[in-house]
Amino acid sequence: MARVSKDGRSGRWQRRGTGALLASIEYWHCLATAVNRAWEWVPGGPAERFGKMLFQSQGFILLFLPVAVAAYYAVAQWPAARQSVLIIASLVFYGWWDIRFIPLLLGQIGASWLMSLFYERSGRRWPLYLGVVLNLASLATFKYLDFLIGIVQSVIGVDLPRAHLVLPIGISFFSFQLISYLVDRMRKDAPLYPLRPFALFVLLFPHLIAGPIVRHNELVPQFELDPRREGVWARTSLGLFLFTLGFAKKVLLADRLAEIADPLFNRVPRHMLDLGEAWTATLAFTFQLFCDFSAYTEMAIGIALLFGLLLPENFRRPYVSTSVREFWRRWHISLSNFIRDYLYIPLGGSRHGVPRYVFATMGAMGICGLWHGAGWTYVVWGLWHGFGLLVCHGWQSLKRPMPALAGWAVTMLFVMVGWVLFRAADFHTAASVLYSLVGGGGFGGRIQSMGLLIAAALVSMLVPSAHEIKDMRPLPWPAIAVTAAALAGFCVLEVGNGPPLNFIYFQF
Amino acid sequence: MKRQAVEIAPGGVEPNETKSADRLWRRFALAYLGVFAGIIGIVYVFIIAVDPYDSGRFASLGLRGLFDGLGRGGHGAAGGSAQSGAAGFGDTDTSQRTGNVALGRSPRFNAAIFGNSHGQLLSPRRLSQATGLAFVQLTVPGANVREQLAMMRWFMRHHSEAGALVLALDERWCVTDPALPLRTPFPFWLYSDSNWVYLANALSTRTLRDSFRRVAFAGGAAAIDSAGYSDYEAGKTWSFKPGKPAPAEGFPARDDRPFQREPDFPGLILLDALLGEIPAKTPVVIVLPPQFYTQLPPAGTGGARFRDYCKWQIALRAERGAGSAFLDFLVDSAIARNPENFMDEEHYRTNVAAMMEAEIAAALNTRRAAEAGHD
Repeated sequence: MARVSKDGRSGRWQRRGTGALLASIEYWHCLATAVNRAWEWVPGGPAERFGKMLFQSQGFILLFLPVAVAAYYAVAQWPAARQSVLIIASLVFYGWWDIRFIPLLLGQIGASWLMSLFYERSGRRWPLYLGVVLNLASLATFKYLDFLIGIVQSVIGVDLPRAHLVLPIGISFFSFQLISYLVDRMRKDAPLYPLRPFALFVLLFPHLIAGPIVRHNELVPQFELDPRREGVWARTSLGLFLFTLGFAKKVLLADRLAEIADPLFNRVPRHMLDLGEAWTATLAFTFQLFCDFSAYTEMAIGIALLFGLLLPENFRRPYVSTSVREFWRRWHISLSNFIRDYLYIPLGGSRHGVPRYVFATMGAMGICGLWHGAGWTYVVWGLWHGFGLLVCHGWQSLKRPMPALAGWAVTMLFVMVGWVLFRAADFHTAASVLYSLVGGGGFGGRIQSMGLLIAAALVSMLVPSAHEIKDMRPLPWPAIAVTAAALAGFCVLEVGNGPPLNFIYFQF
Repeated sequence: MKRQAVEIAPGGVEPNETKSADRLWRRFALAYLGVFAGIIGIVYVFIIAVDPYDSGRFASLGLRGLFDGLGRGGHGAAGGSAQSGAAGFGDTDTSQRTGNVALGRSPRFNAAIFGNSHGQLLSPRRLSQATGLAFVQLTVPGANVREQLAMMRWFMRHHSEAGALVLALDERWCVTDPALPLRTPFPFWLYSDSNWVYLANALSTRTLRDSFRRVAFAGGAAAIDSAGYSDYEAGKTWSFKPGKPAPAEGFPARDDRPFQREPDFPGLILLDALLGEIPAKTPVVIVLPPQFYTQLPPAGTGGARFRDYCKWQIALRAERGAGSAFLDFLVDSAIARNPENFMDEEHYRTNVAAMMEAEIAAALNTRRAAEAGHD
């Protein structure tokens, strides 16, 4: 058992009457240690031996996806069978990462559905509250426990052991979806779904790992639709095109931008960046993050379309925003909507006076930051955006609109400062990079890889989003099909050069 | 052509797809899938057929082997001229990671040198001359434990009756991290026992590029050194000026922590398994190449005790009978204190390599002498 204190301070603390807290932490640490040791004995997923199965990996594109689509359409006429095929495919996809988390995933789904069923039968709300608590407890345990222990440690000044639990991939996404369903049940905005479509709503592999965060009523009704219905070839074509678009953005832009941003951020704070390096790092990460996450979204929407399903929009060219408010209407839209509907409005929104508005905004955005990661830099990033939203609201209430170009420049600067906080490992690193951005590390150097940065900027600001492309009613020109197929073929060859790089949002 | 809405789901765009539009979209999708499958299929078959790294796994197009007949020297050749691996097949580092596939399976050799850049300057030709064996250089710059083990396993898989193995080991074999992390990526799939693993990894722009290079090579492009030798000193100006010691990995050179318990060395445990599969009559010479003395932990420190314990553990692996030996040049000696002997803190020069080769050959020749005496 790990020692609670190395310097005897625990004795003083215990004398203050909080021995029970430390004892419970000791007990918990023993439990976590046992879990971790047992974990080592259970084999992980096939990824350990055969490599990761990401959307852009060859195994996924050349084997998993064709087999899944073929099996799905082979039984397309039977709703139960095709839903079962998708559930099995999704479990294989998730288990490929780490089979040990399948019980957790199924457990949260099963518990949430059972709570919904109890509520249906009893009419009492406590099962729904219990379901929310269970999902929050799972999220808190696997994602935030060490963070919380760190807070307790800093308050009481006693060294406390950490659990170092492995983070189940996608836990933030599927926990939030389950919570939103249970809350909607409380609000009487959701029915009790049969177990199979309910499970599929959470498990559906295109969105399981990193969203978009889908609400039940956006997806469950689609499971009843025959995928062979009218427009099947249009949906398939659009799906292939969107998948290729995301694939190319990930492989040709995001991963290459990572090769620029990562080494520079990793050098800080041991080495202070000069002006050129700091701007290179900041711009590279700014575009990497968008290209990476929007690429994942486009691939997810494209894959879902191959199964005749439509996922919601997640991005709408956020880097053309001329205000912070507009930015949050264009960036990670499914999360923004969730935060708005389940945090900001319940906290008071904007209709209960200025103090309540400030509280709701800062509270919602702080939690939004915390959702991204168990660290204070994420919290401060969220608060930074909360502050930006407040200032933006105040400015707009003056009815003196800023010129669009000036608004865009201010917004981009504001967002990029936030991304430095978001990317930095700690405040020291963030402060160092921000100081370098204003010349604190010297005015030398120049922005590197300018061609790639310009290409990424143009793609970020000019290429329409997935739903914009859908709504543009594209024409089925064969030349586009051939070009897209050649691009996809090249990207398949490119990803063969080394292990595929994770999407950034997988860690959240 | 009239723009048609894409009917997605209830609540989406109005479902006004017509049959003609559906035919056009069907043509679009099939064109995409046909072109995509065609590209991937043709490229894949081409790569497997060309066998870009001369792995010999599948029936290839019968192209000339990457190391056949060109190159200078070869088995038993005089000299030891430095023909950089950079010639014609990418940079040295890349070529050795992939080029060793062909060298490691070549029947022209019956003995091999393994290690990383710390063993790279040992000349296979000089060792061949001195021992009568046919040495090949299979070192890989920057390689840690797992890459070297893969290389050894690949060579032994194709040379079950090897005449000798020379292992140039260093501090990286003393790491205690069970994960045995890599410093740089390595194509383990090329050296895998499984053809399925090879097939699963063979499709990439790099293998496609190297397939074209092999085709060009078959047409007479410049060859790689035929025994794998690469002289990092060649073409460079020697200018080693000892400075402030840099942090070292592996041996905690300047670590004053007390050496409290005997650690496990996962790399050496894996080496045991491999040595256990090698015929007992195959001599194994383990060499610890020298480094400039500032790289060594001062006597009496925890780092020195750690190093000595690891060295002892390494030496145990060389106890295999006549011909096998443990040659420890990683000591604070006159050689280690003379900057003239080094390119930098870690890499010795050819004069030191020649001295090491003489001792390696002497050790190996004891076996020949023992066998002659036995006869």
